[in-house]
Amino acid sequence: MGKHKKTSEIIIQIDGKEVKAAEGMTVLEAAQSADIFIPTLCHHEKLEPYGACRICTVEAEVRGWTKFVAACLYPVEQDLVVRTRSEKVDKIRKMILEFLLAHAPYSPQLQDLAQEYGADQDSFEKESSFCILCGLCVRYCAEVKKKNAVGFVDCGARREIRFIPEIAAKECHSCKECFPLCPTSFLQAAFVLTESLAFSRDSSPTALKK
Amino acid sequence: MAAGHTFEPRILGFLCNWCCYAGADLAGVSRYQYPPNIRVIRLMCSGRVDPAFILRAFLNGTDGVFIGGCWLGECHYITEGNYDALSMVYICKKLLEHIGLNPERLRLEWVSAGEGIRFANIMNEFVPGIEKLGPLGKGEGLDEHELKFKLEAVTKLIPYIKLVERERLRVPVRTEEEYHKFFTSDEFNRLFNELIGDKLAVCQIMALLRERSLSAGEISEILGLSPSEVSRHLNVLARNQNLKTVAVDNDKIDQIINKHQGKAGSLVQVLLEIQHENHWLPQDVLDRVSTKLDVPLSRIMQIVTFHKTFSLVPKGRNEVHVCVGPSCYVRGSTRLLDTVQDLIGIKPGETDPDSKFSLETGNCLGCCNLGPEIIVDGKHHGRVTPDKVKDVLKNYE
Amino acid sequence: MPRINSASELEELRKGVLSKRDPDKPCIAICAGMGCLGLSNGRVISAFEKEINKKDLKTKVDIRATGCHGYCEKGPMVLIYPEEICYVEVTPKDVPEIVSQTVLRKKVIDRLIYADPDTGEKAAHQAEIPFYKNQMRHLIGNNAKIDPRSIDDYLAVGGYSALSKSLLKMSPEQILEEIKKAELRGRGGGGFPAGRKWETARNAPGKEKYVIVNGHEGELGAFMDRAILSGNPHSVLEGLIIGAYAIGSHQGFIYTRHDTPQLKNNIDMALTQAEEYGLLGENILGSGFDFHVEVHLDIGIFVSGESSALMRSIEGNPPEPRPKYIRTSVSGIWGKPSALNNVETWANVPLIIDKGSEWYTSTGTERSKGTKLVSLSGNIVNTGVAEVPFGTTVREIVFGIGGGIPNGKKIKAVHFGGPMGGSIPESLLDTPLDFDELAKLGAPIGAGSMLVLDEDTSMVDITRYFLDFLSNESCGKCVPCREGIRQMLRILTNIRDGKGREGDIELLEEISEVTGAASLCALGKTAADPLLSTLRYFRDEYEANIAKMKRSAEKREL
Ligand SMILES: Cc1cc2nc3c(=O)[nH]c(=O)nc-3n(C[C@H](O)[C@H](O)[C@H](O)COP(=O)(O)O)c2cc1C
Ligand code: SF4
Ligand code: FES
Ligand code: FES
Repeated sequence: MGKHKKTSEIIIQIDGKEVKAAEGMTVLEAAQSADIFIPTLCHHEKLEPYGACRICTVEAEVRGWTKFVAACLYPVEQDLVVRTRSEKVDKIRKMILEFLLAHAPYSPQLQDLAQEYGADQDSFEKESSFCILCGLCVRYCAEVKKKNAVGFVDCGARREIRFIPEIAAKECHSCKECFPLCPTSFLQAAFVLTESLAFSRDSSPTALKK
Repeated sequence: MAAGHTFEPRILGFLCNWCCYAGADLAGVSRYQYPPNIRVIRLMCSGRVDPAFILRAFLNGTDGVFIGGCWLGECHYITEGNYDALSMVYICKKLLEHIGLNPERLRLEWVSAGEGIRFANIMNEFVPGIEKLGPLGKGEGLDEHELKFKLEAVTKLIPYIKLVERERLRVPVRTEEEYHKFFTSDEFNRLFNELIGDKLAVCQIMALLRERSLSAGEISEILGLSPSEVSRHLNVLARNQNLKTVAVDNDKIDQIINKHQGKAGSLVQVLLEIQHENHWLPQDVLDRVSTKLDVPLSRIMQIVTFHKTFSLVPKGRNEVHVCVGPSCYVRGSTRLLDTVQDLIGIKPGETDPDSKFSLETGNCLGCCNLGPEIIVDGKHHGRVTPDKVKDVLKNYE
Repeated sequence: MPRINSASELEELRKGVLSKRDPDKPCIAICAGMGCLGLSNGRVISAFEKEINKKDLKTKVDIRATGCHGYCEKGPMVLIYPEEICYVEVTPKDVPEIVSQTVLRKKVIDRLIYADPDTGEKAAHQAEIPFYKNQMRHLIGNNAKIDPRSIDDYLAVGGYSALSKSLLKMSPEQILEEIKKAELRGRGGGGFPAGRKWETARNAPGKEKYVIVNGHEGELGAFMDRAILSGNPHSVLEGLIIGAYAIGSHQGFIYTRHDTPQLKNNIDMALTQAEEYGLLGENILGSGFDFHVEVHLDIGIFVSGESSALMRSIEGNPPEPRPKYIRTSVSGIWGKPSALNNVETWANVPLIIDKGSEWYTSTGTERSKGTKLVSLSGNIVNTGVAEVPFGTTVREIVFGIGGGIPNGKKIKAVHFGGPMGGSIPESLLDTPLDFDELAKLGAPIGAGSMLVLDEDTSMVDITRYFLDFLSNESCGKCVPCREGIRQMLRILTNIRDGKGREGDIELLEEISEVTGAASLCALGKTAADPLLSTLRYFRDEYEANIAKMKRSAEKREL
């Protein structure tokens, strides 16, 4: 890569259609420029690609090899063939939706997609957390607002988002720009929880005796 | 209350303008007899009753709260507010139960405008029922201070609870049976405990700690929670950055920071070294690291919660690790862990109230020849059977 | 300490070291490895020190605390040179007798030597013990000969001669060529050709490049990397410097476990000593080549061993994997080309340079060359680290070296590769140890952990165990992995607890298909591998558990 001077224009094929793309573009961007729809959940044009939800998974064929890639991250390359729908792609998206519906059955975004892919919200046992961990709030606060008032904690199946009380108390009331980005109302819930636990007048430090 | 006086319960009624209020009116006009204890607040719909209203009523010493709405399907608004009232009441009853109040103190009934007699009958049943329960709190054996404290804790959480209800405790089909089925199901209980129950406990612990400094053991006693539960909640508090503790030696921390400053990826190394030196990471220290290394606190929080390597709460005097690597697992580490848990009364990730032990499970440390093994303060004890573990732990103070 | 500036100075120094050593002088080598640590070898070591002091033998007898000898089951291990008498399960009480009888009078103490548990046959020397007999100990063999905290010990066994050959006699291209010809494949799990990775990094644009040792060793039941890295750190460092020279990197990182202080201490010591000798730092061996190394500790979580997560961690970020649509060898730490290899991979490098690729490829199979370190654990008589040529059958390792299954039990399966690996049943034990052969059977060799399972093991339970581990030890960023593991774990728990339902197996297969295809990193992609392999060979156990549930449900209905 980078060694040979590449022509900046790359021709790729998406769903049988020839699409012109520039080097450095992602498959999602190329598809959007050609009005081809690929569903996304964790993607936002103001934010760095993240690649967490995997709902944008597509089939990518390079030199005869087919693999499943996240369209929001995968860089275009010459002669790439992309299929945005296939039996397996649909199957992947359906199950991802079912995973997420166990957390947030009433999210309008999820419900719309569920209809398209025939996902059943009762496939898996309900989870108490209703955050789908798309990270939009966390990344918006970090990348656009540069405040880092909300972040991730923990790993694996226990990952969550958390407000940093001290920063949130100062910054959030006048901003709240991330609220509408959240596909569920978890962000709001997390915020009011932080607010009621930690912002009140009497929130003097609580100390634990040794 | 002077001797000889019987207890006169104070009852507050929230009645819907279109039905129950009219029904109560009719009962009065028709001179049906019912106890006069109820004070009525008229609302445009039973769906308008906010859980905060109910809690405020109880905080002000009301002994029973009654809500009257239109029969299901007959709400005067297309939003069908009476279904909202129904789920709100289910949740409030659960909340009351959770803080030790009798849920019977809250009652929801459907009364149409023409059912004056029904209203009177309900009151004839409800008021004596409350009388029998006795004054709020006293009847349940809660002292006044405790009661107030608990109600305040719940009130604080109301905005959160409402959002949780909207998103997670919603019944998709609007029929009375479906509501009943959901709110009496195991699933609801589980969701309630995970979403609200734990938060309530955390909220109470915070309120306690704000009044005065307490030890984990004292908290456990006051709130009637097991040591293991208290330890778990303290972990959550620390993670929410709501737990402040003793001042630390800043010079030592600065030394560690300075030692690594300027080196690649120093953050992780600094945190590891502080953890190693201090055995836990107090909030002040994290704040200091954040300022000095100019790294957002959110990233620090993510790193220090990423693995059990780090602790945000003080550890016990002795750190017990039970290896749960696969080799130890097939050689019986599960039973060993169970035994250790029974012996010291806490689960992995927790510290006992006397700060004697902290328990953690460890991944394979590469001493599979010793399996099953436990490691106390870095010392390996190999080939430990459940009956031998007592002898090992007995040596620690 | 003298700084060495040329090949001849290095050989001078080596000669100096060797000349001070009398080959006939007794030396007591006591294992100070991880496994023996837990068997109070510390007390054995101090007992020897005391005894030698007491008897005023300090000038006549050497004591050496060494790295893991491999046979951890029988630890603490003590080797008495020059006769190489091997004592097992030594306690402090035995020490005076060993000193007076064996060290001074050259008499073998019968009670302390190895006795075969079946035949009772005794063996006084390492090479006669069945555990060691069929090994080929190219990498770990030196462990018993050197104190990891002494660079002179490493020089005495020929250390750093490959480095001197590389830097002073070979061009980077020649080294690359040699490694490629040796067909060295990565030992960390993927089996990716190291030469190709190095070449990519070498050819990637940019001046700044990094080389990294992956010493995270997160694979459950694997402890051979620790044995090498803490027992013979210079061998890894030597490989790393050679690799750096071949790639054109001047900065290296050693990423290792925070929970084993011995690792960091021994590595730090090795780096300091190498630097003092001029084998590391500026103008190494007078060649003009500069190279520096930093040690980074992990935070313990399994996913941090994944290459991109490891690099994020070195940058000071949470160890979250990044999608590798651009390889880390092109864009790794801070976007710079970064060549990452496993401890064992690096340790092979000096060997290849020293003895040549032809010698190296004479061992092994068609597509897996050289030797492999494996760690044996679980229901096995001899727990420990063994080194065998590729091509040795699994049966030979488990029964010949491992001594079979304890308590008269029968073997059920051997699980390779930890939480991202797979199991093979008894019937396939004659499979040779080989990257591709085992992968074909659904049990990729991984880093080399071999968990032996006896007939009492429930394969459903062990599969559940691995998924439970992953649900705690993955990063949790991407949905297919986080949620897929959560759901598979729930279903498996139900099946194990006798609450499985019909259709569960099919659902598990469907989930595994999705997590396998759509996850961000290899953890998610292979999380279902233990499940798939046990479904392949032990499906009846799943079915039986589910059927049990069905029967009891029917009974209840009656
Ligand atoms: C989740 C996960 C964990 C890993 N852990 C390790 C590890 O602990 N040690 C290791 O050497 N490789 C580990 N790997 C493999 C590395 O990503 C990488 O492939 C390897 O270190 C490259 O070295 P090699 O080519 O010499 O094998 C892991 C991979 C994954 C996906
Ligand atoms: S596959 Fe698992 S470990 Fe890998 S990035 Fe996704 S969530 Fe993290
Ligand atoms: S939109 Fe691509 S992974 Fe979420
Ligand atoms: S640790 Fe001593 S032989 Fe392995």
